[in-house]
Amino acid sequence: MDMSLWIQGFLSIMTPEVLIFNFAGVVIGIVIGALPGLSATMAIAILTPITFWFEPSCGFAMLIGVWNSAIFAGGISAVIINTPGTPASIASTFDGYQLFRQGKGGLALGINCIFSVAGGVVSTLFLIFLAFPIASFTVKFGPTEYFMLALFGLTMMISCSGNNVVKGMAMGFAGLMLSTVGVDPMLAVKRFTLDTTALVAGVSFLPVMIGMFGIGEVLNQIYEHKKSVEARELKLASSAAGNLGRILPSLKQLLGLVRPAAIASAESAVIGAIPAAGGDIASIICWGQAKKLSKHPEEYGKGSVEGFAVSCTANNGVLGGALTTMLTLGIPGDAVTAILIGSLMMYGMQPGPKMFTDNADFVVQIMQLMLLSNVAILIFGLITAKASAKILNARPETVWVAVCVLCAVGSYALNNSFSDVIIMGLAGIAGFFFKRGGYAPGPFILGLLLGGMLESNLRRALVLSQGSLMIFVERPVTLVLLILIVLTLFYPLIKKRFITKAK
Amino acid sequence: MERKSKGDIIVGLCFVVAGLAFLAGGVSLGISGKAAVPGPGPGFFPALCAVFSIFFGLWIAIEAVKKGSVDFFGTDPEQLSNGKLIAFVTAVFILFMALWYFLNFYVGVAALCLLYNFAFGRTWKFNLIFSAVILGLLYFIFERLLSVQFTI
Repeated sequence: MDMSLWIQGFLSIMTPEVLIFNFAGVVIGIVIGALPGLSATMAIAILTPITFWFEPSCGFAMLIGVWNSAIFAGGISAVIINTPGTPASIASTFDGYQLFRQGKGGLALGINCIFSVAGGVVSTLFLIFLAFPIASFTVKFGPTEYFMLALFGLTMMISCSGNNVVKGMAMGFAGLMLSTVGVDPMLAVKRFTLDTTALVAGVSFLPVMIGMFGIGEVLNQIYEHKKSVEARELKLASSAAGNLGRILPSLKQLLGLVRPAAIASAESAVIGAIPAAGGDIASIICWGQAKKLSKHPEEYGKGSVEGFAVSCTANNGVLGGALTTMLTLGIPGDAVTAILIGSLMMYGMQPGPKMFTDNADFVVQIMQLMLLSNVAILIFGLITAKASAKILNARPETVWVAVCVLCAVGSYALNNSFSDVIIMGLAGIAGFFFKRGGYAPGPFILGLLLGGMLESNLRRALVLSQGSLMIFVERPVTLVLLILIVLTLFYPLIKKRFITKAK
Repeated sequence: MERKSKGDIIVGLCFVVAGLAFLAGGVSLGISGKAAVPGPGPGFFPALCAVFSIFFGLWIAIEAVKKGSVDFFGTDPEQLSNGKLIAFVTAVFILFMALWYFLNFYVGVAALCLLYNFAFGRTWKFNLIFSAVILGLLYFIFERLLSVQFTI
């Protein structure tokens, strides 16, 4: 690693503009993460087109700040009202809410902040030390490897997103089909443009993402909204402010949590590097593992400080791993990194090994921004821990209106295109029906994002092999990925069959 | 009488119809490349994905017919009554886009905020203040600070 690059990167982020944008991102992320129903994905999707108008370092400072803090802040509502603020905080509800009920809500909020930061920092170190070696390995990749990598990413998303693999596959292929709208990547022939100029550039995945995760989610929340449940949650939230107790854990408590948190950090960084495996999966796996290794497993699920600390560490611990996969391979590690790929492309950068040669300085800045965001979260999060519970007093109706307006503005601001707003609206309605029917939007979005990469590398590989499919088994990395893809898709079916036979 | 959901059948058939459309388009574009340009043609990948989409769409629809579909909307009366609200919200969003396209972005946003807050049972006072704040923030942040023009 070139030290001058690190020094240069550090000096370029230590400017007032970058610091202000990062801090603003942290604050926005805390508000969004704490409110159930709003996710880091939604926030990043809406903000990305808006940050296009800023300098890349300022725009990314805000996005990285939002991402890290939204995941951390999901633990706030998990503790106060037993509802995860973001999907990654699902495991935090297992013990967080019980701690609140035992009068240790303040302690839970303090642990959420400290151990989310710990997980974030460890996974960022994972990114810093492993990204460059992985990038230099992937430079040797050819079209077959890239095709299989993209297919592996899509397969993982399908297998990780719901109980029905068939529905996931249908969504994945629908996304791939939609990605072919526009111009053929190799022959520059117009395809499925319906003779309109708006579709010549293809269907941009950001408006689709904003629609599905923004409008679609709002419509779903409106549908599921029950006044009685809202009244209970508001009552809980307003009574929380005076009943939280001390925030900081004692030194003895902290030292006792170091070992399980360290194990959870390492596990979650690796899980984060697997495409499509996000904070929700990592925190549940790490919580389960920590329970097996714990001296007091009976306390887990009943207000275990250790269990809660592990879940908080794990949900932020995936971020560095996801970013490693995104930067080195150009494959999104989770939904947010999928959007960040779009953001990098907006600035004219291509994630993948080339990032580490053509834009090495920006890669280093991203790594340093991750560390900076965690420092900001630690300071701001601890100072405002008790006050942050008041965010939950916001009525969901207020949030719904604001999100609808921001979705329209965000999708328009991307290309100053009204067609993108129409696409966003249609995606929102589709997203609502898909959510109701148990069709996960992840495979659809990823198919739309990776379709171009899949198609161009598949066709290049077939040109190289003169039409022979054997090229996909002759190269070792490609063969390994192919085996992983087959196992990922068929393992749940085989397991189900064995269990049925055993019964 | 128990209401039978047909949601998965409809969605499955939608995948099939979309797949057929892309398959027809892909075949007309050309599956194999021309002699001068080796490799698969521009229609190869869309047709390939379309075949899978048709296959999985049929699988979903047939399974829904045999084993029953997921109930998309449930039977909770409070949730079912929210369906009218969903329809209203969608109609207002379309109105917002029409107002933006034919008149002005800020007129559209004002109508959206006012109608949504009314539908969600907010007081008129809150409604007016909220709408004014949103309009002010959008104008200040986007038009003045970021120079984003919302004209079409």
